[in-house]
Amino acid sequence: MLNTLKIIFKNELRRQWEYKSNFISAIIVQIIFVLMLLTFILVIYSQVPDIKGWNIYDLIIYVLIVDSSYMLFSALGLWFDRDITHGTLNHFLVKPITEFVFYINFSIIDILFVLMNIIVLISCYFSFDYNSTAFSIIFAIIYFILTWPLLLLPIFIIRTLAFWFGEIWEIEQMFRMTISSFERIPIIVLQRIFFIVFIIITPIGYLNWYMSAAVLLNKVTYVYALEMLAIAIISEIVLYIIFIKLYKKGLKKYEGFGG
Amino acid sequence: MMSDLKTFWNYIKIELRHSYEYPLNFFVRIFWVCITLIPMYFLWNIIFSQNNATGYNIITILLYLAFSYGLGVWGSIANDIRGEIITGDIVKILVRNISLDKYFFMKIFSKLIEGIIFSLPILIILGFIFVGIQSLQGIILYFLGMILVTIIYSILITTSFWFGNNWGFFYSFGMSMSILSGAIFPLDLYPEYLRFIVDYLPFKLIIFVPAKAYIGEYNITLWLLITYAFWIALFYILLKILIKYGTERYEQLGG
Repeated sequence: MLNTLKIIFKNELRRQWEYKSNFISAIIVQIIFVLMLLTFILVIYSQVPDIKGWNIYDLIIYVLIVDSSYMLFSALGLWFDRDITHGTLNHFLVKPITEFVFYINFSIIDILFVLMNIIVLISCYFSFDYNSTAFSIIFAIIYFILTWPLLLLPIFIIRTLAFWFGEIWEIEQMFRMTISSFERIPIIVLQRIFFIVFIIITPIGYLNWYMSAAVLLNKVTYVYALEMLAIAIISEIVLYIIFIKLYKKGLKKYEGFGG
Repeated sequence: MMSDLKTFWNYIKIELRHSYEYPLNFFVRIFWVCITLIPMYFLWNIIFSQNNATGYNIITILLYLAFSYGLGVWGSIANDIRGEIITGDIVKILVRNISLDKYFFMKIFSKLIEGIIFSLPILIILGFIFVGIQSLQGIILYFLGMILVTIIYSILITTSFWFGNNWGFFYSFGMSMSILSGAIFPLDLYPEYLRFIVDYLPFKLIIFVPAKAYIGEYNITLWLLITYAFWIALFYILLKILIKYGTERYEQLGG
Protein backbone atom coordinates (compact mmCIF):
# COMPACT_ATOMS: atom_id res chain seq x y z
CA MET A 1 0.00 0.00 0.00
CA LEU A 2 2.81 2.40 0.91
CA ASN A 3 4.42 1.71 -2.42
CA THR A 4 1.19 2.61 -4.24
CA LEU A 5 0.90 5.82 -2.27
CA LYS A 6 4.50 6.65 -3.22
CA ILE A 7 3.74 6.10 -6.90
CA ILE A 8 0.58 8.24 -6.76
CA PHE A 9 2.53 11.00 -5.01
CA LYS A 10 5.33 10.83 -7.60
CA ASN A 11 2.84 11.01 -10.46
CA GLU A 12 1.17 14.06 -8.94
CA LEU A 13 4.59 15.69 -8.55
CA ARG A 14 5.39 14.98 -12.20
CA ARG A 15 1.99 16.27 -13.31
CA GLN A 16 2.43 19.53 -11.38
CA TRP A 17 5.91 19.98 -12.79
CA GLU A 18 4.37 19.85 -16.29
CA TYR A 19 1.98 22.68 -15.37
CA LYS A 20 4.29 25.08 -13.54
CA SER A 21 2.14 28.09 -14.42
CA ASN A 22 -0.68 26.47 -12.45
CA PHE A 23 1.49 26.66 -9.37
CA ILE A 24 2.23 30.36 -9.86
CA SER A 25 -1.48 31.03 -10.44
CA ALA A 26 -2.36 29.14 -7.28
CA ILE A 27 0.12 31.23 -5.25
CA ILE A 28 -1.40 34.46 -6.60
CA VAL A 29 -4.91 33.24 -5.78
CA GLN A 30 -3.81 32.30 -2.27
CA ILE A 31 -2.20 35.70 -1.65
CA ILE A 32 -5.33 37.54 -2.80
CA PHE A 33 -7.47 35.24 -0.65
CA VAL A 34 -5.39 36.10 2.41
CA LEU A 35 -5.68 39.81 1.53
CA MET A 36 -9.44 39.38 1.34
CA LEU A 37 -9.51 37.82 4.80
CA LEU A 38 -7.27 40.56 6.16
CA THR A 39 -9.58 43.23 4.73
CA PHE A 40 -12.49 41.55 6.48
CA ILE A 41 -10.63 41.53 9.80
CA LEU A 42 -9.38 45.12 9.40
CA VAL A 43 -12.88 46.43 8.68
CA ILE A 44 -14.36 44.65 11.70
CA TYR A 45 -11.66 45.85 14.07
CA SER A 46 -11.73 49.40 12.77
CA GLN A 47 -15.23 49.49 14.35
CA VAL A 48 -14.65 47.67 17.66
CA PRO A 49 -11.60 46.77 19.78
CA ASP A 50 -12.71 43.18 20.41
CA ILE A 51 -15.49 40.70 19.73
CA LYS A 52 -16.50 38.63 22.72
CA GLY A 53 -12.93 38.76 24.05
CA TRP A 54 -11.23 38.15 20.70
CA ASN A 55 -8.98 40.97 19.51
CA ILE A 56 -7.56 41.47 16.00
CA TYR A 57 -4.46 39.29 16.65
CA ASP A 58 -6.57 36.46 18.04
CA LEU A 59 -8.78 36.55 14.98
CA ILE A 60 -5.79 36.46 12.61
CA ILE A 61 -4.57 33.30 14.40
CA TYR A 62 -8.08 31.84 14.22
CA VAL A 63 -8.40 32.54 10.48
CA LEU A 64 -4.99 30.96 9.80
CA ILE A 65 -5.98 27.83 11.73
CA VAL A 66 -9.23 27.58 9.75
CA ASP A 67 -7.36 28.07 6.49
CA SER A 68 -4.87 25.31 7.41
CA SER A 69 -7.76 22.99 8.21
CA TYR A 70 -9.36 23.65 4.81
CA MET A 71 -6.08 23.31 2.93
CA LEU A 72 -5.32 20.01 4.58
CA PHE A 73 -8.71 18.83 3.42
CA SER A 74 -8.07 19.96 -0.17
CA ALA A 75 -4.65 18.34 -0.07
CA LEU A 76 -5.74 14.94 1.14
CA GLY A 77 -9.54 14.72 0.94
CA LEU A 78 -11.05 11.57 -0.55
CA TRP A 79 -12.81 12.06 -3.87
CA PHE A 80 -15.01 9.20 -4.90
CA ASP A 81 -18.47 10.63 -5.57
CA ARG A 82 -17.57 11.46 -9.19
CA ASP A 83 -16.45 7.88 -9.77
CA ILE A 84 -19.73 6.63 -8.34
CA THR A 85 -21.84 8.84 -10.62
CA HIS A 86 -19.63 8.23 -13.67
CA GLY A 87 -19.68 4.46 -13.06
CA THR A 88 -15.88 4.24 -12.92
CA LEU A 89 -15.48 3.25 -9.27
CA ASN A 90 -14.93 -0.38 -10.25
CA HIS A 91 -11.55 0.61 -11.76
CA PHE A 92 -10.36 0.81 -8.17
CA LEU A 93 -12.50 -1.95 -6.71
CA VAL A 94 -10.75 -4.62 -8.76
CA LYS A 95 -7.30 -3.60 -7.46
CA PRO A 96 -5.68 -5.87 -4.85
CA ILE A 97 -5.39 -3.08 -2.24
CA THR A 98 -8.06 -0.95 -0.57
CA GLU A 99 -9.73 1.46 -2.98
CA PHE A 100 -9.43 4.34 -0.46
CA VAL A 101 -5.78 4.73 -1.43
CA PHE A 102 -6.87 5.78 -4.91
CA TYR A 103 -9.44 8.28 -3.67
CA ILE A 104 -6.83 10.41 -1.89
CA ASN A 105 -6.39 13.70 -3.70
CA PHE A 106 -2.64 14.27 -2.99
CA SER A 107 -2.57 17.80 -4.32
CA ILE A 108 1.06 18.95 -4.14
CA ILE A 109 0.02 22.60 -4.44
CA ASP A 110 -2.32 22.31 -1.46
CA ILE A 111 0.27 20.42 0.57
CA LEU A 112 2.71 23.27 -0.07
CA PHE A 113 0.07 25.79 0.92
CA VAL A 114 -0.54 23.93 4.17
CA LEU A 115 3.18 24.20 4.92
CA MET A 116 3.24 27.90 3.97
CA ASN A 117 0.19 28.51 6.14
CA ILE A 118 1.82 26.79 9.10
CA ILE A 119 4.95 28.94 8.65
CA VAL A 120 2.83 32.13 8.54
CA LEU A 121 0.85 30.93 11.55
CA ILE A 122 4.01 30.29 13.58
CA SER A 123 5.51 33.66 12.55
CA CYS A 124 2.30 35.53 13.47
CA TYR A 125 1.96 33.65 16.73
CA PHE A 126 5.46 34.53 17.93
CA SER A 127 5.42 38.10 16.62
CA PHE A 128 2.11 38.75 18.43
CA ASP A 129 3.89 37.99 21.68
CA TYR A 130 1.56 35.48 23.28
CA ASN A 131 2.80 34.15 26.59
CA SER A 132 2.01 30.51 25.95
CA THR A 133 4.01 27.62 27.30
CA ALA A 134 5.52 24.94 25.05
CA PHE A 135 2.98 22.57 26.57
CA SER A 136 -0.04 24.59 25.43
CA ILE A 137 1.42 24.92 21.90
CA ILE A 138 1.98 21.15 21.64
CA PHE A 139 -1.44 20.50 23.18
CA ALA A 140 -3.07 22.83 20.60
CA ILE A 141 -1.31 21.03 17.73
CA ILE A 142 -2.40 17.60 19.00
CA TYR A 143 -5.89 18.97 19.59
CA PHE A 144 -6.05 20.29 16.02
CA ILE A 145 -4.89 16.97 14.51
CA LEU A 146 -7.22 14.83 16.61
CA THR A 147 -10.31 16.92 15.90
CA TRP A 148 -9.59 17.63 12.21
CA PRO A 149 -11.48 14.50 10.95
CA LEU A 150 -14.64 16.34 11.96
CA LEU A 151 -14.23 18.22 8.70
CA LEU A 152 -13.57 15.10 6.62
CA LEU A 153 -16.13 12.64 7.92
CA PRO A 154 -19.38 14.60 7.35
CA ILE A 155 -18.23 15.37 3.79
CA PHE A 156 -17.39 11.68 3.21
CA ILE A 157 -20.85 10.71 4.46
CA ILE A 158 -22.42 13.20 2.05
CA ARG A 159 -20.31 11.85 -0.82
CA THR A 160 -21.41 8.32 0.00
CA LEU A 161 -24.99 9.44 -0.68
CA ALA A 162 -23.97 9.51 -4.36
CA PHE A 163 -24.58 5.73 -4.36
CA TRP A 164 -28.31 6.43 -3.94
CA PHE A 165 -28.89 9.93 -5.30
CA GLY A 166 -26.27 10.35 -8.05
CA GLU A 167 -25.13 13.99 -8.13
CA ILE A 168 -24.77 15.23 -4.56
CA TRP A 169 -22.84 18.41 -5.42
CA GLU A 170 -25.57 20.70 -4.12
CA ILE A 171 -25.79 18.93 -0.75
CA GLU A 172 -22.03 19.10 -0.28
CA GLN A 173 -22.08 22.75 -1.30
CA MET A 174 -24.73 23.52 1.29
CA PHE A 175 -22.74 21.79 3.99
CA ARG A 176 -19.56 23.61 2.98
CA MET A 177 -21.42 26.92 2.96
CA THR A 178 -22.68 26.26 6.47
CA ILE A 179 -19.21 25.62 7.83
CA SER A 180 -17.61 28.40 5.79
CA SER A 181 -19.86 30.98 7.45
CA PHE A 182 -17.54 30.52 10.46
CA GLU A 183 -14.26 30.64 8.63
CA ARG A 184 -13.83 34.34 9.43
CA ILE A 185 -15.74 34.69 12.68
CA PRO A 186 -15.56 32.29 15.65
CA ILE A 187 -18.83 30.46 16.21
CA ILE A 188 -19.10 32.00 19.69
CA VAL A 189 -20.63 35.17 18.21
CA LEU A 190 -23.90 33.23 17.90
CA GLN A 191 -26.56 33.34 20.57
CA ARG A 192 -27.22 30.18 22.55
CA ILE A 193 -29.94 28.53 20.46
CA PHE A 194 -28.16 29.15 17.11
CA PHE A 195 -24.90 28.13 18.73
CA ILE A 196 -26.30 24.72 19.69
CA VAL A 197 -27.95 24.17 16.29
CA PHE A 198 -24.75 25.02 14.42
CA ILE A 199 -22.58 22.84 16.65
CA ILE A 200 -24.87 19.88 15.90
CA ILE A 201 -24.86 20.54 12.14
CA THR A 202 -21.19 21.43 11.86
CA PRO A 203 -19.15 20.37 14.90
CA ILE A 204 -15.94 21.36 13.09
CA GLY A 205 -16.65 25.08 13.67
CA TYR A 206 -16.45 24.72 17.42
CA LEU A 207 -14.56 21.54 18.23
CA ASN A 208 -11.72 21.99 15.76
CA TRP A 209 -11.46 25.62 14.61
CA TYR A 210 -12.57 27.50 17.69
CA MET A 211 -11.18 25.11 20.29
CA SER A 212 -7.75 24.72 18.62
CA ALA A 213 -7.38 28.49 18.52
CA ALA A 214 -8.76 28.87 22.05
CA VAL A 215 -6.30 26.28 23.42
CA LEU A 216 -3.39 27.93 21.61
CA LEU A 217 -4.38 31.38 22.87
CA ASN A 218 -5.10 30.18 26.43
CA LYS A 219 -8.76 31.20 26.25
CA VAL A 220 -10.08 27.97 27.80
CA THR A 221 -8.97 25.78 30.68
CA TYR A 222 -7.27 22.43 30.01
CA VAL A 223 -10.10 20.59 31.76
CA TYR A 224 -12.69 22.13 29.43
CA ALA A 225 -10.43 21.45 26.41
CA LEU A 226 -10.12 17.78 27.40
CA GLU A 227 -13.88 17.50 27.81
CA MET A 228 -14.40 18.93 24.35
CA LEU A 229 -11.69 16.66 22.96
CA ALA A 230 -13.53 13.64 24.37
CA ILE A 231 -16.78 14.82 22.73
CA ALA A 232 -14.91 15.37 19.45
CA ILE A 233 -13.42 11.87 19.48
CA ILE A 234 -16.76 10.25 20.31
CA SER A 235 -18.38 12.23 17.47
CA GLU A 236 -15.63 11.10 15.12
CA ILE A 237 -16.12 7.44 16.04
CA VAL A 238 -19.88 7.73 15.48
CA LEU A 239 -19.38 9.54 12.14
CA TYR A 240 -16.79 6.97 11.06
CA ILE A 241 -19.15 4.06 11.79
CA ILE A 242 -21.95 5.81 9.86
CA PHE A 243 -19.59 6.44 6.95
CA ILE A 244 -18.31 2.85 6.75
CA LYS A 245 -21.80 1.36 7.08
CA LEU A 246 -23.19 3.67 4.39
CA TYR A 247 -20.21 3.06 2.11
CA LYS A 248 -20.56 -0.73 2.38
CA LYS A 249 -24.32 -0.57 1.76
CA GLY A 250 -23.74 1.75 -1.16
CA LEU A 251 -21.15 -0.58 -2.70
CA LYS A 252 -23.70 -3.39 -2.72
CA LYS A 253 -26.07 -1.14 -4.63
CA TYR A 254 -23.43 0.23 -7.01
CA GLU A 255 -23.47 -0.65 -10.70
CA GLY A 256 -20.71 0.37 -13.08
CA PHE A 257 -18.94 -0.70 -16.23
CA GLY A 258 -15.49 -2.21 -16.62
CA GLY A 259 -12.57 0.05 -17.52
CA MET B 1 -29.94 46.23 -33.97
CA MET B 2 -33.14 44.14 -33.84
CA SER B 3 -31.28 40.98 -34.83
CA ASP B 4 -28.70 41.67 -32.10
CA LEU B 5 -31.47 42.01 -29.52
CA LYS B 6 -33.02 38.78 -30.77
CA THR B 7 -29.68 36.96 -30.43
CA PHE B 8 -29.22 38.46 -26.97
CA TRP B 9 -32.70 37.29 -25.95
CA ASN B 10 -31.88 33.80 -27.23
CA TYR B 11 -28.73 33.70 -25.10
CA ILE B 12 -30.75 34.71 -22.05
CA LYS B 13 -33.35 32.04 -22.80
CA ILE B 14 -30.67 29.36 -23.10
CA GLU B 15 -29.12 30.38 -19.76
CA LEU B 16 -32.50 30.45 -18.05
CA ARG B 17 -33.36 27.02 -19.44
CA HIS B 18 -30.08 25.84 -17.98
CA SER B 19 -31.06 27.11 -14.53
CA TYR B 20 -34.43 25.34 -14.74
CA GLU B 21 -32.60 22.08 -15.47
CA TYR B 22 -30.80 22.38 -12.14
CA PRO B 23 -33.53 23.66 -9.80
CA LEU B 24 -31.52 22.74 -6.70
CA ASN B 25 -29.07 25.50 -7.63
CA PHE B 26 -31.81 27.95 -6.68
CA PHE B 27 -31.93 26.55 -3.15
CA VAL B 28 -28.13 26.47 -2.94
CA ARG B 29 -27.91 30.19 -3.77
CA ILE B 30 -30.67 31.26 -1.42
CA PHE B 31 -29.29 28.95 1.27
CA TRP B 32 -25.85 30.51 0.90
CA VAL B 33 -27.18 34.05 1.34
CA CYS B 34 -29.25 33.06 4.39
CA ILE B 35 -26.59 30.95 6.09
CA THR B 36 -23.95 33.66 5.64
CA LEU B 37 -26.27 36.31 7.02
CA ILE B 38 -26.88 34.46 10.32
CA PRO B 39 -23.37 34.95 11.80
CA MET B 40 -23.28 38.42 10.22
CA TYR B 41 -26.46 39.34 12.10
CA PHE B 42 -24.90 38.38 15.43
CA LEU B 43 -21.54 39.90 14.58
CA TRP B 44 -23.10 43.27 13.70
CA ASN B 45 -25.28 43.17 16.79
CA ILE B 46 -22.08 42.89 18.84
CA ILE B 47 -20.50 45.74 16.86
CA PHE B 48 -23.55 48.01 17.21
CA SER B 49 -23.68 47.34 20.94
CA GLN B 50 -20.17 48.84 21.25
CA ASN B 51 -20.20 51.42 18.45
CA ASN B 52 -23.30 53.20 17.21
CA ALA B 53 -21.46 55.67 14.98
CA THR B 54 -21.05 53.37 12.00
CA GLY B 55 -23.84 55.06 10.03
CA TYR B 56 -25.72 51.78 9.72
CA ASN B 57 -28.25 49.91 11.80
CA ILE B 58 -28.94 46.18 11.87
CA ILE B 59 -31.63 46.42 9.15
CA THR B 60 -29.58 48.52 6.71
CA ILE B 61 -26.41 46.46 7.15
CA LEU B 62 -28.29 43.18 6.61
CA LEU B 63 -30.06 44.60 3.55
CA TYR B 64 -26.71 45.80 2.22
CA LEU B 65 -25.12 42.38 2.74
CA ALA B 66 -28.14 40.52 1.31
CA PHE B 67 -27.95 42.73 -1.78
CA SER B 68 -24.23 42.11 -2.10
CA TYR B 69 -24.34 38.34 -1.47
CA GLY B 70 -27.46 37.83 -3.59
CA LEU B 71 -26.37 39.86 -6.62
CA GLY B 72 -22.55 39.71 -6.55
CA VAL B 73 -22.46 36.69 -8.85
CA TRP B 74 -19.48 37.29 -11.08
CA GLY B 75 -17.48 34.35 -9.62
CA SER B 76 -17.15 32.04 -12.62
CA ILE B 77 -19.15 33.79 -15.30
CA ALA B 78 -16.41 34.18 -17.86
CA ASN B 79 -14.82 30.73 -17.56
CA ASP B 80 -16.66 29.28 -20.59
CA ILE B 81 -15.50 31.97 -23.01
CA ARG B 82 -11.96 31.95 -21.63
CA GLY B 83 -11.97 28.22 -22.34
CA GLU B 84 -13.15 28.89 -25.89
CA ILE B 85 -10.07 31.01 -26.57
CA ILE B 86 -7.72 28.43 -25.09
CA THR B 87 -9.26 25.48 -26.94
CA GLY B 88 -9.67 27.42 -30.19
CA ASP B 89 -13.47 27.18 -30.25
CA ILE B 90 -13.64 30.97 -30.48
CA VAL B 91 -12.74 30.56 -34.17
CA LYS B 92 -16.36 29.55 -34.76
CA ILE B 93 -17.44 32.99 -33.54
CA LEU B 94 -14.71 34.84 -35.45
CA VAL B 95 -16.00 33.51 -38.77
CA ARG B 96 -19.60 34.41 -37.95
CA ASN B 97 -21.41 37.67 -38.54
CA ILE B 98 -21.09 38.82 -34.92
CA SER B 99 -18.35 40.94 -33.39
CA LEU B 100 -16.42 39.51 -30.46
CA ASP B 101 -17.36 42.33 -28.10
CA LYS B 102 -21.06 41.71 -28.75
CA TYR B 103 -20.54 37.97 -28.30
CA PHE B 104 -18.72 38.48 -24.99
CA PHE B 105 -21.37 40.90 -23.80
CA MET B 106 -24.31 38.66 -24.68
CA LYS B 107 -22.78 35.57 -23.18
CA ILE B 108 -21.55 37.15 -19.92
CA PHE B 109 -24.60 39.31 -19.35
CA SER B 110 -26.99 36.39 -19.92
CA LYS B 111 -24.96 34.36 -17.40
CA LEU B 112 -25.26 37.19 -14.90
CA ILE B 113 -29.01 37.29 -15.41
CA GLU B 114 -29.19 33.55 -14.86
CA GLY B 115 -27.21 34.04 -11.64
CA ILE B 116 -29.60 36.61 -10.18
CA ILE B 117 -32.92 35.37 -11.55
CA PHE B 118 -34.00 33.90 -8.21
CA SER B 119 -32.47 36.33 -5.75
CA LEU B 120 -33.52 39.51 -7.58
CA PRO B 121 -37.30 39.18 -6.98
CA ILE B 122 -36.68 38.39 -3.29
CA LEU B 123 -34.44 41.44 -2.93
CA ILE B 124 -36.96 43.68 -4.70
CA ILE B 125 -39.66 42.55 -2.24
CA LEU B 126 -37.33 43.05 0.76
CA GLY B 127 -36.44 46.51 -0.57
CA PHE B 128 -40.10 47.46 -0.85
CA ILE B 129 -40.84 46.23 2.69
CA PHE B 130 -37.91 47.83 4.52
CA VAL B 131 -36.95 50.83 2.38
CA GLY B 132 -39.79 51.58 -0.02
CA ILE B 133 -40.01 52.38 -3.71
CA GLN B 134 -36.64 54.22 -3.73
CA SER B 135 -34.87 50.86 -3.29
CA LEU B 136 -35.56 50.30 -7.00
CA GLN B 137 -32.88 52.91 -7.71
CA GLY B 138 -30.39 50.39 -6.38
CA ILE B 139 -31.64 47.75 -8.81
CA ILE B 140 -31.32 50.16 -11.75
CA LEU B 141 -27.78 51.10 -10.73
CA TYR B 142 -26.98 47.43 -10.24
CA PHE B 143 -27.76 46.74 -13.90
CA LEU B 144 -25.49 49.64 -14.94
CA GLY B 145 -22.83 48.10 -12.70
CA MET B 146 -23.34 44.74 -14.37
CA ILE B 147 -22.68 46.33 -17.78
CA LEU B 148 -19.40 47.52 -16.29
CA VAL B 149 -18.64 44.02 -14.90
CA THR B 150 -19.41 42.50 -18.29
CA ILE B 151 -16.99 44.82 -20.07
CA ILE B 152 -14.28 44.35 -17.43
CA TYR B 153 -14.57 40.57 -17.70
CA SER B 154 -14.54 40.83 -21.51
CA ILE B 155 -11.23 42.68 -21.18
CA LEU B 156 -9.92 39.92 -18.92
CA ILE B 157 -11.02 37.31 -21.45
CA THR B 158 -9.07 39.03 -24.22
CA THR B 159 -5.90 38.68 -22.14
CA SER B 160 -6.18 34.95 -22.89
CA PHE B 161 -5.13 35.80 -26.45
CA TRP B 162 -1.70 36.60 -25.02
CA PHE B 163 -1.40 34.55 -21.85
CA GLY B 164 -3.40 31.39 -22.61
CA ASN B 165 -4.71 29.63 -19.53
CA ASN B 166 -4.62 32.45 -16.97
CA TRP B 167 -7.18 31.04 -14.53
CA GLY B 168 -5.24 32.33 -11.52
CA PHE B 169 -5.49 35.86 -12.85
CA PHE B 170 -9.26 35.45 -13.25
CA TYR B 171 -9.83 34.12 -9.75
CA SER B 172 -7.54 36.72 -8.23
CA PHE B 173 -9.32 39.47 -10.08
CA GLY B 174 -12.74 38.17 -8.99
CA MET B 175 -11.62 38.13 -5.35
CA SER B 176 -9.96 41.56 -5.61
CA MET B 177 -13.16 42.91 -7.10
CA SER B 178 -15.06 41.60 -4.07
CA ILE B 179 -12.77 43.67 -1.83
CA LEU B 180 -12.76 46.79 -4.00
CA SER B 181 -16.46 46.82 -4.91
CA GLY B 182 -17.70 46.61 -1.34
CA ALA B 183 -19.09 43.10 -1.75
CA ILE B 184 -17.62 41.99 1.59
CA PHE B 185 -18.47 45.10 3.62
CA PRO B 186 -19.68 48.61 2.79
CA LEU B 187 -16.71 50.65 1.58
CA ASP B 188 -17.52 53.55 3.94
CA LEU B 189 -16.69 51.24 6.86
CA TYR B 190 -13.18 50.58 5.55
CA PRO B 191 -10.31 52.16 7.46
CA GLU B 192 -9.30 55.58 6.07
CA TYR B 193 -6.17 54.36 4.23
CA LEU B 194 -8.13 51.62 2.42
CA ARG B 195 -11.00 53.95 1.59
CA PHE B 196 -8.57 56.33 -0.07
CA ILE B 197 -7.67 53.59 -2.57
CA VAL B 198 -11.17 52.32 -3.33
CA ASP B 199 -12.69 55.79 -3.70
CA TYR B 200 -10.81 56.48 -6.91
CA LEU B 201 -11.49 53.14 -8.57
CA PRO B 202 -14.58 52.29 -10.66
CA PHE B 203 -15.32 49.06 -8.78
CA LYS B 204 -17.44 50.80 -6.15
CA LEU B 205 -20.00 51.39 -8.91
CA ILE B 206 -20.58 47.63 -9.10
CA ILE B 207 -21.89 46.85 -5.60
CA PHE B 208 -21.30 49.68 -3.11
CA VAL B 209 -23.14 52.48 -4.94
CA PRO B 210 -26.12 50.32 -6.03
CA ALA B 211 -26.39 48.76 -2.54
CA LYS B 212 -26.33 52.19 -0.87
CA ALA B 213 -29.09 53.31 -3.25
CA TYR B 214 -30.96 50.09 -2.45
CA ILE B 215 -30.96 50.86 1.28
CA GLY B 216 -32.13 54.40 0.51
CA GLU B 217 -28.90 56.31 1.22
CA TYR B 218 -27.98 57.33 -2.35
CA ASN B 219 -30.09 58.82 -5.09
CA ILE B 220 -29.57 58.56 -8.82
CA THR B 221 -28.13 61.88 -9.98
CA LEU B 222 -27.01 63.08 -13.38
CA TRP B 223 -23.42 63.15 -12.13
CA LEU B 224 -23.66 59.52 -11.03
CA LEU B 225 -25.00 58.46 -14.42
CA ILE B 226 -22.19 60.41 -16.14
CA THR B 227 -19.67 58.57 -13.90
CA TYR B 228 -21.12 55.21 -14.96
CA ALA B 229 -21.15 56.28 -18.62
CA PHE B 230 -17.54 57.48 -18.40
CA TRP B 231 -16.17 54.21 -17.00
CA ILE B 232 -18.29 52.07 -19.33
CA ALA B 233 -17.08 54.06 -22.37
CA LEU B 234 -13.45 53.98 -21.20
CA PHE B 235 -13.41 50.22 -20.64
CA TYR B 236 -15.30 49.63 -23.87
CA ILE B 237 -12.66 51.50 -25.88
CA LEU B 238 -9.95 49.47 -24.14
CA LEU B 239 -11.84 46.27 -24.96
CA LYS B 240 -12.10 47.21 -28.63
CA ILE B 241 -8.36 47.88 -28.81
CA LEU B 242 -7.50 44.60 -27.06
CA ILE B 243 -9.82 42.59 -29.30
CA LYS B 244 -8.25 44.17 -32.40
CA TYR B 245 -4.68 43.30 -31.37
CA GLY B 246 -5.62 40.00 -29.74
CA THR B 247 -7.37 38.57 -32.80
CA GLU B 248 -4.53 39.79 -35.03
CA ARG B 249 -1.99 37.66 -33.17
CA TYR B 250 -4.33 34.70 -32.49
CA GLU B 251 -3.57 31.49 -34.38
CA GLN B 252 -5.90 28.50 -34.45
CA LEU B 253 -7.26 25.88 -36.80
CA GLY B 254 -10.84 26.33 -37.99
CA GLY B 255 -13.52 24.28 -36.20
